[in-house]
Amino acid sequence: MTTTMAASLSATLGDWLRQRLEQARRHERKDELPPSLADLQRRARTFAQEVAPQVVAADRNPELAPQIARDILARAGTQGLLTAFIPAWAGGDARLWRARRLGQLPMLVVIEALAEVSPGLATLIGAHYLGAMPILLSFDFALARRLLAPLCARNRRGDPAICAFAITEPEAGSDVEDALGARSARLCTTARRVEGGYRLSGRKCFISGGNLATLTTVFASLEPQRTTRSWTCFAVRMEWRGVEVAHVEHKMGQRVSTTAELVFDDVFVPESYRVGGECTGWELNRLTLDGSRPMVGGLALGAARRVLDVLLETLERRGALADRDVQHEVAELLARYSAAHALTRRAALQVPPLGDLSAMVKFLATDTAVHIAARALELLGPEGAEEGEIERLYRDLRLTQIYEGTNEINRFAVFEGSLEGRPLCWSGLV
Amino acid sequence: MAQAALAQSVKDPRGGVVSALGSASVPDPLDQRLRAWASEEVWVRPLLHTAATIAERIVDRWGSELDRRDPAEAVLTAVEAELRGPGLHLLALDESEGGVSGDPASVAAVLATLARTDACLAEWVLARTVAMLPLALRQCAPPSEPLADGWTAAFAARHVGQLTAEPSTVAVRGWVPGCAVVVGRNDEAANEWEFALVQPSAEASRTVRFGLRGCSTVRLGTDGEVLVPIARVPHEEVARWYGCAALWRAALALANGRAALDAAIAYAGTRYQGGSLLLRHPTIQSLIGEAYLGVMAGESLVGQAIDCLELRSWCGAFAVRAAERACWAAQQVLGGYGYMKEYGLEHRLRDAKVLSLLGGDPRRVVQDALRHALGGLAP
Repeated sequence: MTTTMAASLSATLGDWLRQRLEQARRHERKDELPPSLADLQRRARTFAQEVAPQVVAADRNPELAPQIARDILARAGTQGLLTAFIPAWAGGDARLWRARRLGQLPMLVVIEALAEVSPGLATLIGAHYLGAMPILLSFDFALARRLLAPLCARNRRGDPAICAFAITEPEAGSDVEDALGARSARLCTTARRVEGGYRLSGRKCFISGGNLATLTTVFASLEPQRTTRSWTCFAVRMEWRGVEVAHVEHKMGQRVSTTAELVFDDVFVPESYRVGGECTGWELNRLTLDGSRPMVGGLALGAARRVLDVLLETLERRGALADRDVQHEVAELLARYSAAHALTRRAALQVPPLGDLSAMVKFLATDTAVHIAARALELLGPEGAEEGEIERLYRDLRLTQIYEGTNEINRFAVFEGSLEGRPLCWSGLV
Repeated sequence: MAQAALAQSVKDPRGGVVSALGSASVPDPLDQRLRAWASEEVWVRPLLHTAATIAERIVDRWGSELDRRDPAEAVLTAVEAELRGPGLHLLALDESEGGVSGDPASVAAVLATLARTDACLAEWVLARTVAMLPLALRQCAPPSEPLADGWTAAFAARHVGQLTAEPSTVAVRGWVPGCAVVVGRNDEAANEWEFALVQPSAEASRTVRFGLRGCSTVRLGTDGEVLVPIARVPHEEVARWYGCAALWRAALALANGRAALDAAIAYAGTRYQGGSLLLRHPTIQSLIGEAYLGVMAGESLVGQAIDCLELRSWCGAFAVRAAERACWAAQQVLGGYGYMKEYGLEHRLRDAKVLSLLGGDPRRVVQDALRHALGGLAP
């Protein structure tokens, strides 16, 4: 009797364990998320799939990219993707209670989902929020409402009105994304105080969505000898006299997200368009980048996830997954992806974002994603050299190691806080 | 001076951001290496000069067209004519026919010279050279047509069922309209390869790659008729040719990587970051230095593999990775500029990546080479 009971108990426990394991696997595949986020993820994935043919068309015909990008933005606006992360008090759809609990996880989920189809698509949408971020982080509620609410209304109607973020200059790229570099950066964009406002002059380059934007947050120094220490942020309407799109860049990838060089020729900016106080630009810049770098990590990992899915499917179809050497290789890629993904999710949940953790996530996730894509091309054999989805993702991903501060600069950024006496976040993570 | 010339190849449309190291008189290690490879054939040196001049001319005229998804047929024909002018498609033939007898060192030097300007052109000439190897051993009288007009051919699929059977298709790299096709058939029973010249009937499809675009692979229909039977060649000799191809691809890949690094040095030598020249930053020095180390090691390996058949596949696998790493590092040094088309480094990285894929997965190549070296001891 006892033996029978023991055997029965053992079978029951075995079944339970198998069931739990199966559930765990299913959850992992489904990317376990609260229902509201799962719904958001589903919407973003559906949208990305719908516009995928246009994304490919922009990649193959870069000259068509600006028009295609406009069309995609119009569609994204009507589906709420351009207002989802603008707070309700600024005219958008995001609720503050949600942000307190989930941090930036909702945006990360959307960015990942868009990047599964194209990192360029994720950048196109993400750059809008990047441009709006300094306005929101200035916590000037009246300014945010005045500037962003009309944009949100237009976006909902399918009349795209996006923001862009302009810090990089022809002579100052990574300089302005690193505290040490910033002290001696050669910045050419300056703002001169005049009656009722400022006169803005200079150039900004590599501005994602710069040619499509309605409003651009531009950083300029008030005092040439104090460069970034006198940095001040201005919201500049692109229709203002003196603002010009000098040219749109031809890039290796991410072509659907157009990148432009902007010229500001003695542009009058009313005082009411200054974002934050005078000389608070550097702080706004840091806060913005601390929040955006985990998003770049998520963007890279979204694409890497797609690469892994295609790779596994192809290898399985070829029967190559039975090869232990291939298993060894692919297991390494899966482990790297999972580790980077876990850290990125963790960074996204931090409120407010931690600068050192954000920087770590940025270089870890993007290096991992590029490694995965590069190795996947090799594992696919000569077929990998042919134009197609994986090579497009590889070209797109390459930019993630460069923008938002090159990965070398992000490694320095890990220590920026500790040099000012703040503890490093990694001990907290342990 | 060579560095200065390379630096100038980094376009500077905005003025002042990138400029040449005007006073540089650093001896160019690649020049020295090429001269060493070609030292026994002193008369090859003028060919290197000619190759460099032609490559620059082609890139000036048709560089952007060659990097399009579907280059115009007229451009491909014009480039082919430019390369045929000084006989760069005849490297496999002997001196009397305008070639260098397929001498591995000389061919490597010519291909590296071309790749410093554009890896695609070097791959193009490599495709011609490989196609010409069986022709150099031809056991027939020189045919009058179609070879008389320029002796050009492209190498086709390595395996076809029958050379003289029914119509079929063959995949040919670097084929341009008007080019004949050398087809090989592996006759395992006779331990030989049989080669013949066929005239393609129609272009069936074209493989579009993300790099080396001007030298794409075309699938051609053939009517099964052999124009000229060329030769029957023992397996060992064909294996030697494959080794040569790996060696040559290594040389051209490394030249591509070195050119990328030289452009990065030129940029880092003029660009300030954090108050000092980019080139003075330890991180940048490590990035460039380690990539250079790989390229130099690869070049040394090419030098050794010229005389050692067994080293050639090792050399190929190492070189393509070192070259890809060099192009990656160079692009990283230029940051945003490196990602833009007009600065040329994204082109070099794409070419480097495709070069690393053409010979198969480098990891597998190394495993195969080890198995071969262990004489079948490894499973």
